[in-house]
Amino acid sequence: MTTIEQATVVTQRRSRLARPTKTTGWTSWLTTVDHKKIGIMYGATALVFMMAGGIEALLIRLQLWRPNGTVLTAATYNQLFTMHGTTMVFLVGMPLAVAFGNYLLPLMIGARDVAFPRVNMLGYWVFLFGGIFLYSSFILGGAPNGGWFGYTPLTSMPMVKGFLPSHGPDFWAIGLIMLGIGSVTSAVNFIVTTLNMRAPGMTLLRMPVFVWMMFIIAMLTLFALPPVTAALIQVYMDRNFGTNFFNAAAGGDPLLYQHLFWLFGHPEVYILILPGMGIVSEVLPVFSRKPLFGRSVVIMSGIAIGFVGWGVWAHHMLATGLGPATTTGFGIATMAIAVPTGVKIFNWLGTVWGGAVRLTTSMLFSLGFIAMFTLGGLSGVMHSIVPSNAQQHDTYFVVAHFHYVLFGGLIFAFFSGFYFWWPKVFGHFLSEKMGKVNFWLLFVGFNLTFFPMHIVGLEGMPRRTYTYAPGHGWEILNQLETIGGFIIALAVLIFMVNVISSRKRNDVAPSDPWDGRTLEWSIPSPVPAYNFLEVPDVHAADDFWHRKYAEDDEGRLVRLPSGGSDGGEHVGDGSHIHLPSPSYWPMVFALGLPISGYGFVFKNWWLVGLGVAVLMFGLTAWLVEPDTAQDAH
Amino acid sequence: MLQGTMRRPTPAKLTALVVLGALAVAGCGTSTNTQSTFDPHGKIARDDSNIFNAFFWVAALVGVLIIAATIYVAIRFRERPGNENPIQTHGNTTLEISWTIAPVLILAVMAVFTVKMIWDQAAKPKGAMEITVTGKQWWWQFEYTKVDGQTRHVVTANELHIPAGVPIWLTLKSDNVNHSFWIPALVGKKDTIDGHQNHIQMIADKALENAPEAKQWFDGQCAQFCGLSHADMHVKAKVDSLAEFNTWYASQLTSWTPAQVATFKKWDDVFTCSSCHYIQGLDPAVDNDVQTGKKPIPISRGPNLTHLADRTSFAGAKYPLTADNLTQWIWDAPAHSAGEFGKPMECPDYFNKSKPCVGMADFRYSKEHPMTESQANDIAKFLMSLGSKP
Repeated sequence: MTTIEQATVVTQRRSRLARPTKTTGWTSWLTTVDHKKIGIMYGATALVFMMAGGIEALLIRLQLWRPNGTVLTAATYNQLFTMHGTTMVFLVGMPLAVAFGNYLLPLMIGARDVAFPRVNMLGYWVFLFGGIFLYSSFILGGAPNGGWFGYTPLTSMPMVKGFLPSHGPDFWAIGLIMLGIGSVTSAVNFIVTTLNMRAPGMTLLRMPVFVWMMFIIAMLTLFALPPVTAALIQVYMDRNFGTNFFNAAAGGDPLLYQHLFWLFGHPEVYILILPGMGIVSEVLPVFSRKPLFGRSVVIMSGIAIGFVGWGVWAHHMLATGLGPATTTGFGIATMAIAVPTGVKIFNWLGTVWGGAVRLTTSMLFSLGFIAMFTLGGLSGVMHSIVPSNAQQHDTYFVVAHFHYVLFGGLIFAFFSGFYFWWPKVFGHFLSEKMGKVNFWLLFVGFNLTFFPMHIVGLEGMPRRTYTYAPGHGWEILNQLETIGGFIIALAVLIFMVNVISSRKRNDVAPSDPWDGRTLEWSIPSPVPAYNFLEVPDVHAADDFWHRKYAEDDEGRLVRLPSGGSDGGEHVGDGSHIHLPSPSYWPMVFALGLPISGYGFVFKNWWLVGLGVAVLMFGLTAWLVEPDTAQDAH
Repeated sequence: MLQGTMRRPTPAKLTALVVLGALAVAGCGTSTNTQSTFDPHGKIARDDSNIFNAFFWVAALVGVLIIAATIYVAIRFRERPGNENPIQTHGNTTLEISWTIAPVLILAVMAVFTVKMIWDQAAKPKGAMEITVTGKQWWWQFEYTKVDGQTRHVVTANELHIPAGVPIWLTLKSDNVNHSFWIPALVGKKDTIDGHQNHIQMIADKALENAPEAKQWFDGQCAQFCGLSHADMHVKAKVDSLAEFNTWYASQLTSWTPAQVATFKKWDDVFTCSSCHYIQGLDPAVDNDVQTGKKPIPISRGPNLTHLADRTSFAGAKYPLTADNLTQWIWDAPAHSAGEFGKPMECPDYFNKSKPCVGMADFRYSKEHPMTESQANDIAKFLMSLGSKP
C-alpha cells in the first residue's frame, strides 16, 4: 500500500513538469527531440551562418581588390578573417556534418531515433546559442580578432597590456568552449547510436560508409576537443586572472598553445572532411548503379586516416623551430596520410568505372568533389616537403590548399548531399535545371577564387594581411579572386532560390527517387516521425538494393520481380509506436551557457551565477520530468 | 677582410623556368617581383624552390591524370540504352594493392630528398656571420653579433645588410607576440617566438655583388599574424659586395657627436624619444658595453635611431624615408599606421618606461606635450642629416 501511495505522489509532483505534447506547428520545433527535425534545424542554422561567413569573405575580397585598399580598416579586417574562419569551421562545417548525420544516421542503420534524443536537442541549442554569442561580440565591444587559431601570446596577454585590446579574444575563447560542449554531446550521441541502435543484422561492416565516417569523426571529436578546451581555458585565465601559461617572461611557453591547438586542429580537419567523403561514397554508387568499389578498403582507409590524423599536428608548426628530428617525423607522417586518402580517390573512380552514370546535380557535385579534393590533397602533400614548406607556410598557397579541401571537397559534398537527400527529407525534388546552373557557377567561381591563390602565395603574399603594396604583380590575381568570390555568392544565391521555388513547385518525390541502396530509401518521403513502421531485418550491406536487384552469372544487374519499395509496405499509421516525448529542458539548460558566458567575458560574476542557476534549473527539471507526455501512447 | 665561401650557384633547373614561363603566360609577371619564391637569389631559397619544382611536376601529373579520369568515367560510362544494368564489380585486390603501393613509392622518394634537405639546412655553416633577428610589433630588429669572427654588436632595424656569398646564421627571437621572418628570394620563413631561439642559415648568391644596386634589394614580410599592423611589417635585405658591407658595418659602429646629442636633448627632454629608441652617443659607457656584447641594448621598444638616415625606409619598411614622410610620422604616427584612423595606438602612457607599449605615440594630440608640425619637421630634418652618406 505504502509503495502505491508514494508512487501517486511522485506522479502528481511530476505533472507540474509535464512534457510538451505538440509535434506540429512552429513551437514544436523548440521542444522536439525528433532527430530528423533536429537535423533540419542544424542544417538551416548552419546555412544562415554560412551566409554570414560568406559575407565576411566577400568583404575581405573587396578590401583586397586593389593594393592599399580602403574598404576596411585593419582592425575590422582582422575581425572579419577571424570570424570567417571560426564561422566556417565551427558554425558551418561541423554543424552541417551533424545535420546530415542527425537526419541520416538513424535511418541508415534502421533505428527510430538516436540514443539520447534530449541530449541531441541540447547539442543543437548549444550550437545555436554559441553561434549567436560569438556574433553578438560585433555589437558588444569588438569581435574576435586574433585569428581562428588564436595563437598566444597575442590572444593570451591581458587586455590592459594591449596586444589585442578588446573583449574579442574572450568572446572567442568562451564561445569555442561552449561550441565544444555541443560538439562533444553530439559525438557521444552518434557513437552510442551507432554502437547500440543498429537494426538486427546491421553488422558494423554492413553499415553504410557515411555512417562509418560519422562514427569515426564522432570518435575524433570526443578526443580532440579536450586539449583545445584546456588551451582555451588557459588563454582565458592568462587574459583575465594573470596566470602565465603562455607568458614566456614568467616561465610559460607560447608554443605550448600551438601544440594543444593543433592536437585538436588537425583531427579537426578530418572531422570536417570525412563526412564529405561519406556523402560521396553514398552518392557515387547510386548514380553509377554499381556498389562502392573496395567498400571495406574505403572504410579501413577512413579508420587509418582517423588514427594517423593524430600524428601530423605539428605540420602546422613546421616553421616554429621544432628541430630537424621532429620536423622529419611529422613530415613523413604527413606524407603517410596521403596514402589512405589516395586509396579512397582511386576507389571512387573504380566505383564509377564501368557503371551506368546518371549526371544528376548531386552526381556532378560528387564528381567535382573528387577532382577538387584531389588538387587540395596534392597541394597538401607538397606541404610535407619541409624545406619548401618554409616558403609556402602562412601564404596564400596554404589558403588555396585548404579551400580546395574544405570548399572544393567538403562544401561540394554537402551540396551533393543536399540535392541527393532533399527529396527524402522534404518530399519534393530540388530543380535539377537550377541545380546544374548552381553546380557550374560554383565550380567556376570556386576555381577562379582559389586557384590564383596558389600562385599569389608563391609570389610572396602572406595570409591574414589587410593590405598589400603595389608592384609585386599580385593585383590581377587578387582581382580574379574577388570576381570569383562574387560568382560563388551568385551560385549560393541560386541554391537558395532553388530551395524556395522548389518548395512552391512541389515536384513530389517518391520514396525511392534515385533507385537508392541504403535503408532510408525504403521508407516514405518525407520520413514519418517513427522512421520505420517495422524495424528492418538486414542481410547485407546496401540491404535495400539487394531487395531490388540480384546479379546474374556474369555479375550483371538483374531486377527482382517484386523488389523495391514505393512506401506501399507501410501499412498502418504507426500510432502504436512509442517515440520519445518532446522536452523544454534542453533549451533551458543550453540557455544557461551564454548567460554565464557573457558573465565570464565581462567578469560579471552575478551573471555567471545566473547562468549557472538557469543551467542547473534546466538540468534538474530534465532529470525529474516524466518519461513520457501524459497523453503519449 | 671577409671571405666569400660559396661557389657560384648552379643555374635554375629547366622546370623552374617552365613554371615561370607558365605563370608569366597566366598574366602574372614575376620579373619585377622582389618578394617571390619563383626567383630565388640565395642557396636556401633555391634549394627550396628546386625540391618544390621537382615534386610539383609529379603532383601536377597525378592531378591531371585523376581529373582526366574523373571526366573520362563520367562521359564514357554515361547511362544509355543497353547499359542500365552494369556488371557489379565489388573490388579488386590486385588493384587495391597496386594503388596503395604506387603512392608509397613516390612518397618514399620524396621523403628521402626531404629528410636530407631538412638536416642540411638545420646545420650551422662554418665561419658564419651571426645575426640575431628580433620580431617586434611591428618592425624587425637586427643585431650583428659575430662578423668576421669578431664579437662586435651592431644594432639596426628593418633593413638587413648582408655580404654576397657569405654564409649567415640567423638567430630568431621575440620579446612579444609571434612573428615569422621571411625573405622569399633568400630564405624560407621561420617563426620568432618569445622564450624560444630559432635558427636558419641564409646565403645570398655571390653573383649579386656585381649586380646593379636595384637588383641587390629584396623584400620580405612578416608571415605570422601578429596583430593590428601585421600586414605593415615588412623587411628589406640589401646584398652588398664585401667592400660595401664592410663600409656600412663600420659606419654603424659610430655614435652621435656631443654637439648632435646636445641638439637632440632639447626634444628628448620633452618628448622622451630615448625612452623607446636607443641612440649611440647618449651614454658612451652603455654604447661600449653594447658593442662589445657585454650587455644587450638598453632599450628596444622602437628601432635604433642612430643611423636612421642610412636606411631607405622606416616604420616596418612601410614608408620610404623622406623628410615629409618622417615629419608626418613623428607628428602623428597613428594616422599613418593600421589603427582606426585618428585613434591612438595601444600605448596607455608613452612617457612611462615601465609600462608596456605598442606603436608610436600620437604626439600631435598629446595633452601634456603637444607637438607642433614644425617641431616634427625639425626633428625629421635633424635625423635625416645624420647619415654617413653625403
